[in-house]
Amino acid sequence: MKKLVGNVLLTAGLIGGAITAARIPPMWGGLAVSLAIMGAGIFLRRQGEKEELHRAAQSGTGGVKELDALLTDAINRIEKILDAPREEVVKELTKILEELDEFAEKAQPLRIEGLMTYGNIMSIFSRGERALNRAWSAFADGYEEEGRKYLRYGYEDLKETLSAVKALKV
Amino acid sequence: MANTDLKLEKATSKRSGSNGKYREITPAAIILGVLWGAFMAASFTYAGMIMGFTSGGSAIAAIVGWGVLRGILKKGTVVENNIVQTVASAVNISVSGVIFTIPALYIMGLHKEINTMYFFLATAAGAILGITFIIPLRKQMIEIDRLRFPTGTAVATVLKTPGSGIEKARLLFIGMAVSAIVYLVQQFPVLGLPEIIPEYIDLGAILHLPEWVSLAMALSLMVFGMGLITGRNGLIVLAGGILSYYIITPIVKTLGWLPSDVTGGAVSDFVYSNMTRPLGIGMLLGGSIAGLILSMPVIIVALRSIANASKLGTGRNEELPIKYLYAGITLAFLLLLVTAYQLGGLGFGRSLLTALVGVAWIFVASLLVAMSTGMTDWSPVSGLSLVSVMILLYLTNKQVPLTILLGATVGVAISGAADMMQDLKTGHLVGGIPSRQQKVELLTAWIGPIIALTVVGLIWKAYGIGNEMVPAPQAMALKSMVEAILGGNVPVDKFIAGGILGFALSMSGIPGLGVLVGLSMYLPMLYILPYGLGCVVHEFLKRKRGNEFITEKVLPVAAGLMVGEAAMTLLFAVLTVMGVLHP
Repeated sequence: MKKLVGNVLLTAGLIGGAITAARIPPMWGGLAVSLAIMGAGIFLRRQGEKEELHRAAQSGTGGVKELDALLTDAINRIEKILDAPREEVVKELTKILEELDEFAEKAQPLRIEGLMTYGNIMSIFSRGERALNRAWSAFADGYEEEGRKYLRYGYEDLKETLSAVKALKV
Repeated sequence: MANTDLKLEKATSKRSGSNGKYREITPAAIILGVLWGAFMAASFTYAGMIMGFTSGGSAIAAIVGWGVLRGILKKGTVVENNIVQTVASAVNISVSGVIFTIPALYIMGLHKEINTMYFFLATAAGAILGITFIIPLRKQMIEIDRLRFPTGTAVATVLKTPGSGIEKARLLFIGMAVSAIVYLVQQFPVLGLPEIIPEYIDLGAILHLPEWVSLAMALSLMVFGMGLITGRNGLIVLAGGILSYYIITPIVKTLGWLPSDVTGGAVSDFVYSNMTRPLGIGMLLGGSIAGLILSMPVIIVALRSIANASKLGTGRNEELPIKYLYAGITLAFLLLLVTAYQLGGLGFGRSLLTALVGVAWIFVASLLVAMSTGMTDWSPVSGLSLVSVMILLYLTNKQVPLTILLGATVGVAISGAADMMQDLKTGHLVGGIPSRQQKVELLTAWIGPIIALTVVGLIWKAYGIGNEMVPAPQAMALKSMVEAILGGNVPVDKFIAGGILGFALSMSGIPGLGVLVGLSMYLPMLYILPYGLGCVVHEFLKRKRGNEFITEKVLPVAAGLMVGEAAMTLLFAVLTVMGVLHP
């Protein structure tokens, strides 16, 4: 509810601000009022978002628990293909990479918990994702040795990401 | 279908014994990238000055790369071809920065006041600065903020096509063919043939809307494809466009805020040019400054991570060392200081101020343009150029030649930054090593300015510049900008008001909101509509068919739509060079 009200106030402030600022010369008083409305909207929106994230974490339908589950699944699947034939690795890795994209999208709300924490997690995750992308390319090109090396790197990086996610106290 | 998949499988398996070092930076990749990039740079410099268009050309380079590396040399890899497209676009990318600025000096007759060597130094330094300034931004925007970079994503799709199976390749080529054919048919009038498909459609006229309602839509499959890849972020741009054109414009008209002689179809143009576009430029700036402040923790994480990369075991140091960034900042500072002091004859204090503000501005502008292309694929270069010229004229005591010369450094740097980020996004998606990509860009980016400046010089000697034969539209626009600023005709109040709004929007918690809304006010509705339509289709399909459908079906088609039209622009550039086409 807070987030919705926040969004409405933010939009109203933006429309008002854009109109008053568009006049030649701008209506500075009108712009100031609009900015105040936007400010209230931003405050409510951020509060609402934080509460939403905590609720999701408690119910287990989103937040850290969901991220944990997504990563664990990806790690288990990679474990199974570490020594699998090349064709099977390419096929399975294509699907795993698509699902990891979902992890990245679902991790966005973690920003609310602090950008440093979010940045650290995504930095490790992305390094692993890039390693898996390289593994995919190498396998697709027929360079199996390089492929296996980077598959292993990606696997290790995802495990490190999982540890960082588990360490979160949301 | 099963049969064709089997054939592809066998074709790939033929190289499965190739277990040597994985081919990435190879002489073949660099030579091919430089040659193709030089060809594109020469073609687009000429075509840009005559017809007014340029293109990055990464996707075309990727296709040419496949043709040569695998088709002729029979040994290319995905990451090796990534190096081909990276080098080719690095060589080609300085074209837009050069043709926007340097020809203006010729048009104003000021080129004789500056040694030609300065032209090269200013533009080559810009090319290198754009690359070094984004070293920490790569981690922040691509790995942490996960920006989409639609062109980079499209190029990655092209690069991965041979290993992705027949179905994706088929979709990519269908997209390419449809887009290329539509563009070709649209250009019939240029070739002396009757018009069959127009370049835009006036929906307002079809729906009998009042004349002042601007509802024209460009029929560009490339722009539609950009939207198809962008998705959700583009919806904000569409909403902002609606706010600008269909809420602000009627209210402004109703309140009688327009001059009495502005009526009918001129209403929309007036509001856009004098009210919403300047506001949009201000929002872009305010939004990106807020973004920079908010992103500081992430940038610190990125810098730490780059520094820690060297401590990783297993020899996995894949980041370009941070010393390159410091070297870039020092180079930029010294270049601006020496140029302002020597060439402009400014005192030491003012030269120092010019250098400090100039470096800070190049960083902020590079960040803004990278953020904007990352979220939407649109690059607000002309708006930034206006602000650059304004800042530089003030710093240099209104010395026009020096301003344009330094403007060339800034222009090349910001277009280079945007291009490099797209290439690094491609690299991330195919598993390229970032430091290798950045090093080949640094090694080859200076070649582009030599080619572009040589072509400009040759055109000047052969035809002159700024005439019927060579209209040089971008440089003429810069000349008008300089004249407007010197005449005090710049809406600074709108920039400030927009800046405050953009700053506040970016504090909302929605990443990049100020930049997105600013962009929607800065762009004409003509392009927002097809782009927004693509975003709506993306979101609709994502909800109905899921993420997998987007990756497996939508992405290859969208990449094809972008590549097909881009290939045609190169063809038309070549036809212009050959004298087949002329405005």
